[in-house]
Amino acid sequence: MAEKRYEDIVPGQKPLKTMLARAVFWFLGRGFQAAAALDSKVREETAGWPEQFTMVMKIEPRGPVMVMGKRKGEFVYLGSKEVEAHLAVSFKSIDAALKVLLGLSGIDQSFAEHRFSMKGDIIAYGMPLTRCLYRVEAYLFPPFIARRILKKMPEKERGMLRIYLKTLFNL
Amino acid sequence: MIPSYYEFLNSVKILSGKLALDNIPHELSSLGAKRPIILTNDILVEIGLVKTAVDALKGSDIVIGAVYGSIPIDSSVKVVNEAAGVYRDKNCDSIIAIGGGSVIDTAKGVSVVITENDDNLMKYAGAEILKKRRAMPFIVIPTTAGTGSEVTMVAVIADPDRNVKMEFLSYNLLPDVAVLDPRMTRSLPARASASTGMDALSHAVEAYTGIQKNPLSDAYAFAAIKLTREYLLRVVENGNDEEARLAMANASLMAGAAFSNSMVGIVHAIGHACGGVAHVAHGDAMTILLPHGMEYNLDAVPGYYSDLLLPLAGPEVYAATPSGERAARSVSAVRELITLLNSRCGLPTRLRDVGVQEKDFERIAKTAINDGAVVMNPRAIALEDVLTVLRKAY
Repeated sequence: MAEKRYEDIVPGQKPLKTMLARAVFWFLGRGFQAAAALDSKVREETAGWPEQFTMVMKIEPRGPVMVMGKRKGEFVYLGSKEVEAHLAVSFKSIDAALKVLLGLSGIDQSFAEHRFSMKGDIIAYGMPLTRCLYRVEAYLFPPFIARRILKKMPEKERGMLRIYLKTLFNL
Repeated sequence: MIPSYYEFLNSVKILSGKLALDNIPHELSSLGAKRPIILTNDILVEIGLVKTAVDALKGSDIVIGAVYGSIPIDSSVKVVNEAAGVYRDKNCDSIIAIGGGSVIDTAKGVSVVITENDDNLMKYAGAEILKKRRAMPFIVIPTTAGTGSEVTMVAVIADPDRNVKMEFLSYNLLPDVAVLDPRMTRSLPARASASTGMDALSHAVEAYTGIQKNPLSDAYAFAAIKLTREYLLRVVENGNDEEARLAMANASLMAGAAFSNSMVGIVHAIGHACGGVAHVAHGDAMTILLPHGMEYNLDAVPGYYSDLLLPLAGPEVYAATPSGERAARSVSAVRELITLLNSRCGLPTRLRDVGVQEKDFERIAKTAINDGAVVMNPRAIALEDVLTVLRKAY
């Protein structure tokens, strides 16, 4: 009888989804920076964080990564290279991350479904960040998507176009 | 309704009933341990509860490495590190926590510090970041029937130097064994029994109505509410009623398993803040805030509140209430229970009765909206919403 052979199976990567996530992370990071500059509520939330505060949002196990932080009093997008952070949000899979990043699932629902882990002070940083994300999502997603993923639509202080101009061209 | 996705874990072995304590040596032996540290507080040593537990180990090969009894009402990182130092110095190989929420949370903290071999507990704050499997067996003997901490994946531990409370959520915090022995809750006074029982009820109600609810957490929550309806008044009226004591210990445990897997909502968010700002005892805060929190969420999830009328009020009331009125009737049922407990043992019904002042509202509200429970509430919660609830509950 022939001996049965057992080979390693390497499931491989998801290059297209990884590229998409990387692009959306860039857009989200820039959008967050725009909202922090133009929306008083986001500015108020980030004002409470210390100078040099850094947060990382990433997808396990190897990225992509989005880094944001407070520098010279402004909350800004700091690129895609992982660094030590006060708060690290790690999505457990790329598909789970894309559901949130593409507006198919809200942050609350994603947390309820254990789709990400959070390292750091949930009370001081995690909750204010969550409230900021509600507003950023309300600006970046079309209203029919934002209404579906948010428990309550926040009152927007700026038009979507204004936020998009700042996000894409820093205007 | 089945959620599109959910997770559930309750890996804790439960020993419930008469002589449950006496089986601890067998459990320790099965887990490969024989030299536990007992973590507790001085009052429980004084009133003899720790002796009751130690006496139950007589005749076994177990050696208690140390009894650390200096755990205060609020768990803190300093106490965790001190207790961990005793654990190491005395070459202990397992933990037995005897007490309520703060003792159990401290014990969870000690387990992390020992497992990670790192005195900086705050490095491990957050949700689902503990990767190492716990390094020692961990047994919990609750002495109140309310927190459910013996089966939860949650611990809250303060860092007094920075004046902050840190949240730890991890399946690795779940103990190995929970021991519910009626001897351990028998001495709880009527008012404390009522207050902690209402804490259990609020866990179950919020677990059943939050956005993380799932069929398994629902089952635990439902059973916990039914037991609370049947037995809470009995333990308040007669503390020596062993059947009722055991039933409430089970209600508390089941409510804990429910909320460990579904989390809590507005009642806890505001209740924790009342504790932090105005030092309101947790069970009292739950008692006062539960009906107001239910009212706040009523229109968001009326179906879930309708369901709860059955365990809250019993089958006759449920059947006699038109379906459109059941949700509001659930809130009334909770109010009726609170009124009864108020008349039996003076359980408070308003925030003004427990030392909260109107000038505290702003601070309480700001603290409440930073509580992780806000995320799991079925209705959005803003600062103004918390202030409205506080005014109603005042």
